[in-house]
Amino acid sequence: MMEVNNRVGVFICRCGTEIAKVIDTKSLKEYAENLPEVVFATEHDFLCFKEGLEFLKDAIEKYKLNRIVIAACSPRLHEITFRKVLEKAGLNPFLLEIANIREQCAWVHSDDPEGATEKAKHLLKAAVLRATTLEEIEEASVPASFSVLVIGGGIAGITAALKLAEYGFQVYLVEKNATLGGKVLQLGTVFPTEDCGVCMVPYVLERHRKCLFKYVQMVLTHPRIKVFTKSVVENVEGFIGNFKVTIRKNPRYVDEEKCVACGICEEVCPIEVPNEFDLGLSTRKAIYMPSPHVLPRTYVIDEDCCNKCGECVKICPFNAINLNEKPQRIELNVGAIVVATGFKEFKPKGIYGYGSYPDVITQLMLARMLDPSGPTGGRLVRVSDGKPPSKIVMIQCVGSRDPKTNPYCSNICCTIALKHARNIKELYPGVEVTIVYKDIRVAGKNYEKYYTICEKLGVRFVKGEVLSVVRNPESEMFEVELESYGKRMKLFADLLVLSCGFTPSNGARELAEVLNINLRQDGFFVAAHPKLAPIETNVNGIFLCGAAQGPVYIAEAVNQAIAASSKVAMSLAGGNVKTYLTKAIVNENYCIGCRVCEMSCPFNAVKVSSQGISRVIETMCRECGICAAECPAGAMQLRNYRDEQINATITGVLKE
Amino acid sequence: MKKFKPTIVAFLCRWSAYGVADIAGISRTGYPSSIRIIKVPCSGRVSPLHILQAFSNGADGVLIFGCLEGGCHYINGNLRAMNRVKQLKKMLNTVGLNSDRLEMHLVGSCNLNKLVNYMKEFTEKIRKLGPNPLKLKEGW
Repeated sequence: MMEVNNRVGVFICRCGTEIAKVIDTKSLKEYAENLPEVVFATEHDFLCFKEGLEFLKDAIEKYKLNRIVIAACSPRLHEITFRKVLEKAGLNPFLLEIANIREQCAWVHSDDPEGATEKAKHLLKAAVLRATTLEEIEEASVPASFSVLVIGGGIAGITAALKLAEYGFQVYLVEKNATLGGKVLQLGTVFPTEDCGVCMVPYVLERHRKCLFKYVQMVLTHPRIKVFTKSVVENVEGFIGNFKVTIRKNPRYVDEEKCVACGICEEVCPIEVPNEFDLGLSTRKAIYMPSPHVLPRTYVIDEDCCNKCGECVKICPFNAINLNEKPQRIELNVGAIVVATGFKEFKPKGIYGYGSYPDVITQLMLARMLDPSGPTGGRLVRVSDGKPPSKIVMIQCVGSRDPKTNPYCSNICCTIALKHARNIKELYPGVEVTIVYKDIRVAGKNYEKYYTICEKLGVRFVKGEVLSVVRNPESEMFEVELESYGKRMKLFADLLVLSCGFTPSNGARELAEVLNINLRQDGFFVAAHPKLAPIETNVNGIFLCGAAQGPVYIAEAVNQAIAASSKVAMSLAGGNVKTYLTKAIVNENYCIGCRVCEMSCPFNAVKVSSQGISRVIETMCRECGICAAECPAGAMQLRNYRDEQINATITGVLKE
Repeated sequence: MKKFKPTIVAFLCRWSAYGVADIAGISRTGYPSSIRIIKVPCSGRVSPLHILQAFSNGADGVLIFGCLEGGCHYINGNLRAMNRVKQLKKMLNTVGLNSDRLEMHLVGSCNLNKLVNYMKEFTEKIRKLGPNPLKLKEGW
């Protein structure tokens, strides 16, 4: 609070005749002159015009005004304009209060000029009373670290990391698996370009087509990107500009620098287990490389199945293997965090015979099968006997749009099924393909063509609800019983493909706890606002992209990654995080350490110190004032909306 | 006796309802001049203290407008405010103020008709309820 006496100046704008034709601005001015602490009151025709603004500035200087009240249009229109004038006149821009007598009086009560003038007087009085309680608000600037942590090495994380490195940030990319590339690497072909997943078109620097293989290599070799594979984020402290991150790097047991991927170790390894990369359609050793396409091209040992026999250590010509490697803890300082943890396919255990019969597979398994570099070399086979199937039935919405498993629509499974149906029909025209669906949703740009092409190729579409799937042991066929438009019917298949929904990737919940960000009920991360802040989270400086928010197409994941990287750039580019301190503030004399503010803050901006006193982290506070409303002791206040400031307005609008 | 003209304090969230009230002005959609609007950063900023302050200063009714569920810019400020209003309504009855004098609604930033209708209906309701009894006791 200033110790100088308040000298309030009141400026009433007639807005041409817009305000003046309803409200008697002359009597309003006379009324204003008699209000407490008002030393100057005037009318003006157009306060927002250039000469009006100059008049305002001159009057502030001439009458030594230190609180400005403007009765004019909505503050949403010209508050910023007028604040700039205050600044030019040497006043703090927050010593301004606007009475909205146009939108809230003249324009809505034109049928009741007397009532409108009466109300305008009250609004003006409220503004004057509030103005006398206003305080100077400074701008704070906190130095920010020029580095970013990207969590997740899928297509979204890779894109974000590359973009941020191009902006000039130091990027740390953390991936929990041994290799980068995420789901895209497993997909075989990808829509809408129908090229292979490793050969996508992530336009970066060059104009020609560039494969993910090269793209990942760019990440691995970029001077400003440091990749941590087999790593998880263990702890995060701090706030935007200054996050302190602890990463646990789990042992790979193979030195990335020394390994040349010759593969001799794999040959001598005695242990063989199903390969997760191919979803169990192939096997791998305990020391392995999931697929020939993965990057970094380094072997890795799966500690869960390795018996540490040491055969690989003996044979490795480069001494790259160390079975005694221990997990490392790495501490980083970053200015912002991008979460790109992605999704995983829903496991339909026990649904339609999945798990009991090998010929019931998921779309992702089918994608592996159709991938020319996959476990079958691109041949379509029945998993049980390796023979080509003749009748394929795909069932949509398994673990998706289903109240028993996941109620939400997984967005991309329809297009995946259509893509696979088309691939199969083009490769094997004789194979019958039937898709059982609830609704076909292919809303992406250009994706409708998948539906029309499939129809032309002879894919059969049946709308209905599957009632049961039974395997006939004699004919070795699946009998799919379903209800379609009230009629029961039966379909026969020797390969059953379930189009499964998608769920958040493993570890999303733990990460949410570490980062203090919110999850939806379905376990995906939630954005700060569904429309206007779709990339931000409830924590300032932590951003989301890709399927961490819900299943998305590759194109959208890339879009979001670029959006997230530009958001990071926006908040850190100046080297400082700047903000006006219209933030929550604690009166330490009143604080009783009850933690109500800490619990009610949606942005984790309030922490109770070890002395039992609340502290506001100003760079994280978003100025909602929820803590101030909840505080039982009146210790927590929101600057510019303190209790006495709001009460002044209330008194003003009510008392004569 | 002269016709009772109520005075109503309306707390409007600066993100949704305050903008809608501006649209009411721009589109010249009238509402009773009894409504006195106070801008708040979020409906979650409105504490029982402010509501009681309004009643003790002679408001005949108090309205609060927040963002739609799921649309709060501060995640759940609107729902927190709803909870507080619910609890305060119980207390108002015990101190002799009809709890109908306090209402909270959620409006989206394009729900002009909804906002104006709430304002009109509430004013009509308060007109029927008569003046704030605290005001009468003070001999206003």
